[in-house]
Amino acid sequence: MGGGVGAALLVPAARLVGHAVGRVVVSSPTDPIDAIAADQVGDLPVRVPLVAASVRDAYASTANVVLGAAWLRRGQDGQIAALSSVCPHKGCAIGFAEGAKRYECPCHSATFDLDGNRLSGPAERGLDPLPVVIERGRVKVTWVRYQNGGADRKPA
Amino acid sequence: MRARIGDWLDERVGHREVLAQWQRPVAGGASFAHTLSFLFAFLLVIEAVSGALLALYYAPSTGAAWASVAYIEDQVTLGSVVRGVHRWGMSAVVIVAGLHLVVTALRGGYRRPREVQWWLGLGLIGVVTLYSVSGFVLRWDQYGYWATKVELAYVNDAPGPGRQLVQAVQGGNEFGNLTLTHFYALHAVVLPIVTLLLAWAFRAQARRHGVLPTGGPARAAWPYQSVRNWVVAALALIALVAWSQHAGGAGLDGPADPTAAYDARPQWYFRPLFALVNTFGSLRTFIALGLPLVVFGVLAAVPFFDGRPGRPRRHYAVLAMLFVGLAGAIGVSMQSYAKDDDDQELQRRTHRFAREAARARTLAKTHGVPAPGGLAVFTTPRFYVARTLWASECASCHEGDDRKAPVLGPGLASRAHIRSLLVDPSAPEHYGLAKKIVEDENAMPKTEATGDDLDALVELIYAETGATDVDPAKVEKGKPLFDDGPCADCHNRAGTDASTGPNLAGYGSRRFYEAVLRDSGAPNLFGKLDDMPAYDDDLEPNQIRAMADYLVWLRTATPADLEALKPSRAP
Ligand code: FES
Repeated sequence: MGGGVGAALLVPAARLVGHAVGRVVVSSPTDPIDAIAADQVGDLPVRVPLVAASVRDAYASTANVVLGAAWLRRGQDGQIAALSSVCPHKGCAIGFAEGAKRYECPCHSATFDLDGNRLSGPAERGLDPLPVVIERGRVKVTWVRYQNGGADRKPA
Repeated sequence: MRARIGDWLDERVGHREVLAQWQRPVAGGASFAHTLSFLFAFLLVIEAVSGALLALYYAPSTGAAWASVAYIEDQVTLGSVVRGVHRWGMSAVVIVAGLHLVVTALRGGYRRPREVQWWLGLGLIGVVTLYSVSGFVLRWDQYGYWATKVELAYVNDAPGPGRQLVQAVQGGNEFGNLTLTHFYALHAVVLPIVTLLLAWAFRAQARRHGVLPTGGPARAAWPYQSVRNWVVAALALIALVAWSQHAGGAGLDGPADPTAAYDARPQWYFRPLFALVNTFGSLRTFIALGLPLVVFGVLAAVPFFDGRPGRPRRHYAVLAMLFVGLAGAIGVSMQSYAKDDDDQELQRRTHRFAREAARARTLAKTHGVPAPGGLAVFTTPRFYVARTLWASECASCHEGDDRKAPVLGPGLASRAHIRSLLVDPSAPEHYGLAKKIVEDENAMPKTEATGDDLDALVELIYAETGATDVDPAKVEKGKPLFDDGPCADCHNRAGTDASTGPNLAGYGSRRFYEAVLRDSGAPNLFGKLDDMPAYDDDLEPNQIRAMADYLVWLRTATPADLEALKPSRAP
């Protein structure tokens, strides 16, 4: 008897607790986000915050929300490339060490070269590239969040 | 009378029997060693009360969390004291629980028949550390946000249901509103219930088996033990408040910024794990998640190894393990702290984040926090929009030594500025560096007017700005000087007619600046002399208006006023 009542309470409770599992609760438009004027990107990386015009977060809808940052840099070929600031290890935001000319994660000291390739530390892959388009002299970046950990990149 | 009320109450409540328990002699007598469990309960009550007080002011959502904590910390009466006690009180709980564990182990208190009580104690310690995990994220400041992000990432990468667990707790795919509500519910509702149940069971066990005798004479709990308990509790409370004040209260970092390379560090009692994780390369995840399980498992198994008295070797082995473990944990933690202290870059970043936090909190206190949340506090200073545009669009040409256009600074379109412009239009602070203008055949010559005439011309143009301190007599005098003199060869001062130089109608007013921003190359403005981008398409009307307002404000601003507007944010 008691077991039956318990199950009758527990099952719906567990379903409610699990509501968010596998669900996209926080979402924003997936089109490229205006980041910076193309002529301001040089061969040293600049960090640019990517601001979504609107974010749907559970019950709320908010304008101008910072999603994360991209590190932008003009490569040897003159093309602008973007790297996600999210460390592929456990998701801290990486910084750029001007002296050593490499990216460094403040949390567990993962390091990456200018192209985002893994140099040392606990990350299992290099930094995640983000798609870039140039329109009317402006750099636009598409924000993608990847799962942390793992050698291959899987969108989160 | 008193006796009759007592009888009446006792018949219904039975309080005399309960009170009599304190009179009964306790085998082994009173001891300060026995105050620890009381102290543990006392501190938990302090946590509950301070937590309830904070809950009166706290709001768990991404928009309000940091703002409400900053409000508690910087504005609510005694808010920072209560926060300090609440935060450091939990550290005290962990310390007391650890001491209790050590004292119990020293006296073999885990042996038969107290195994279950030992396990309940371990359970309590485990639950207590979860308060910290769930509590720090509620601040939604850099510290809480990043520490929790990393902690959850470890669970996420664990084998088995780690990912599902994290999604259930954080509420979906990302940190957001549900993360805060969920952790708040865990921290303030679920964990307290679990703690109460465990503590109740622990106490029931303690009653059943009695205290571990200390060897002294049997004494009644009241007053012998109770007085000791309260003395210790009072001292602990004083020490807690003193420590919290000394440590600067609970502290509050700047609002959580998902772009910031913040040095996430755990609470001190997780520091040994953090240190080990960073030392053992490939075993990281195993250590972060496995080591706590192993430690708890070993501690839980102790009663099976040393289950009855009279085997001192086994007891020593248990104690040796405990103390070596503790010493090791303290050692690696100290090493890890020392490493951070020696890291110059990290110290620099820490100071920068501290400055940013101070600025964010000052702004929150003066202007309030905009609805989108803590980070938006940086947008509340005066002329934020204009200063941001200035930095991205204007500064490269209008500021610094590499500029290609007139300086637009404090005193812009003031009398002094207009005068100096008339006297030497090609000076570097005016059009001197604007090649297209100074090198043109129509470049403006220096004025020949001097004395009162110059004053009158200055006043005439100054009147266009809309300033309220204009001298009408001088303006009247200036009109013929302008209209019949060389000025009028190139400039109009009414309407919107085209002219070689800008039409000066409304010069220095918001309308004028808006027109220049929209299209400075319009025929009634700089025309073919123009070399500045037209912002009509690229800026929103409200941005253009904000910029124009800022330029108007510059007329009466001093360099100190301008200085006060920046930096809106550490880079
Ligand atoms: S999160 Fe970057 S190294 Fe761990």
